[in-house]
Amino acid sequence: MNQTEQVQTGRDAEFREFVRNRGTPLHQSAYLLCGDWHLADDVVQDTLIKAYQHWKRVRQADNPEAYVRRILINEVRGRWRRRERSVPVAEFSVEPSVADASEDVARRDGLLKALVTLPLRQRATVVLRYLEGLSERETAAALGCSEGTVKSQSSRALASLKSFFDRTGTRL
Amino acid sequence: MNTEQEIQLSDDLRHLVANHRFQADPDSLLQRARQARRRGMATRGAAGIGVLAVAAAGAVIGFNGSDSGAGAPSVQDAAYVARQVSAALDSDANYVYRITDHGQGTVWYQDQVTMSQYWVYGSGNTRTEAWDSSPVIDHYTHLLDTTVNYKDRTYSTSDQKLNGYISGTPPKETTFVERTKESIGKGDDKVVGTGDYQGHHVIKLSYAVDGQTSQMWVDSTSYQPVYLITTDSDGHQDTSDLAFLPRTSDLLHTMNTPRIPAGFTKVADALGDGPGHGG
Repeated sequence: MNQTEQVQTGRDAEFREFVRNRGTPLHQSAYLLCGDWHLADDVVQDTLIKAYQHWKRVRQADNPEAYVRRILINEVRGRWRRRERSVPVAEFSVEPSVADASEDVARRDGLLKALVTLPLRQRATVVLRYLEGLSERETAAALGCSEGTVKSQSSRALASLKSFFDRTGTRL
Repeated sequence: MNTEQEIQLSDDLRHLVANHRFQADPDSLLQRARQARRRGMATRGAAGIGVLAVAAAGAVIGFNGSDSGAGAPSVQDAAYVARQVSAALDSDANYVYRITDHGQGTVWYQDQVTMSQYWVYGSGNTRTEAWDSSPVIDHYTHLLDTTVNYKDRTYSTSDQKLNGYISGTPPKETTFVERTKESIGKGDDKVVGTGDYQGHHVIKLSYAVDGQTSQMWVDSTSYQPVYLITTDSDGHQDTSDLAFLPRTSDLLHTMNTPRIPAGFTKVADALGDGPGHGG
C-alpha cells in the first residue's frame, strides 16, 4: 500500500467512526432545526459528505464535532433559502393538530411547531443549548458568533417559546 | 422562562428525538462522499487549465445527468426509476404512510404493518377525526370505525364483521404502497423532469391509471415518493404531500386510540356530508 492509499484508508476509517458515533446526534439536531425527519436525513448526509471532502480541516479543528455541526447549520440555512425560492405549489400551511392524546404529546407537538417558526440562529441556539447541552462558549463556537450573541439569541428564543405557549394556553 | 421551565424544555426536546437513529450505512455514505470528492477535485482541476475547463465541466455535468445534483441517477430511464421506487417502497414496511391532501385539507395516516388508518379532515375546533382499526382482528375481517366531529360535537361508531378466517398477516392489496407499485408498474411511465421540492431533489415520474394521469415526484436519492399530482379526465387536479413516518409509540397511540371528548353526542354518522374515507 503506497502512502496515498494509506492516507485514504485512515481517512475512511475515521469517517466511518465519526458517522457511527455522531450521525445520530447530528440527525436529531437536524430534525429539530428542520421539523422533518426526511429533510433531516438529507441534511445530515450532505453535511457528512461535505465534511469528508474537507476531512483534513475537520481533523485539524480544535473541536471536530463543532466544525461538522457548523457545516450542518450552514446546510440547513442553505436549504431554507432554497426552499423559500423553489417550493412550486401551494404548501399545506396549517397542518391539522393530531396530538390530543395527552398533555405531554400536545405540548411537545406545539413545541416543535413553535421551534420551527423561530429564526434559524435562535432555533440553533435552543437546539445546541437545550438538546445537546452545550455551554454558551461551545454554542458560540458552533455558530461562529460571540458568547454575547448566544446569550441574546437564547433569551429571545426562550421568550418567543414562552409567548407561544402562553398564547396557546399550553402549560410548559 | 425559569430554570424549571428550561429543564422541561430540555426534557421535551430530548423526548421529541428519542428513539430516532441515523440509519444511513457509513459505507454507502463513504462511497457517495468519495464520488463527491472526486467530482470536486476534477472540477477544481479543470478550472485551472483554460479551454479544457469547459470540456471538463461539461463532462462532469453530463456524467451526473443534467443539473440534477448529488444523488441523481446517471441515467434517468423511466423503467429504472419505477423499479427503484418499487424497491424503496418494498425495502422497509415498518412505516406509517402520511398523505396530506391539499385540496380537501385531509391528512391520512395508514400503518403499513397493520393497515389501521387515521384521518383528520380540516383543522382546529372544526376538524373531524376518524379511526379505522386494522381490517383484520383475530384472523377475521372485522373493521371498527370511530368518527368524531368537533364542529357538530358529535361522534359515531361502526363495527363491520364478515365471515371468513384469515390466516397469517392481513392481505395488503389495499395499502397505499401496493396501489402505488401497481400504478407505476404498468410500463407506461415517463420521466418528465427533475426539480426541488421541500428540500428533496426530485425526479418527476408520470403515468396513467383508469383515465387519470398522475405525476409522482420521488426523491432522487431514496426514491421514496414525496409529492403527487393527479389530474382527472375533466381536468380536475389534486395535489398531495407523501411521507414515510417511523412507527413511534406516540404516533401509533394517536392513530389507534379513538378520542371522544366529554359531552359529545353519539349520532348515526358523524362524518355527515364530509369527504368519505376508505383509502
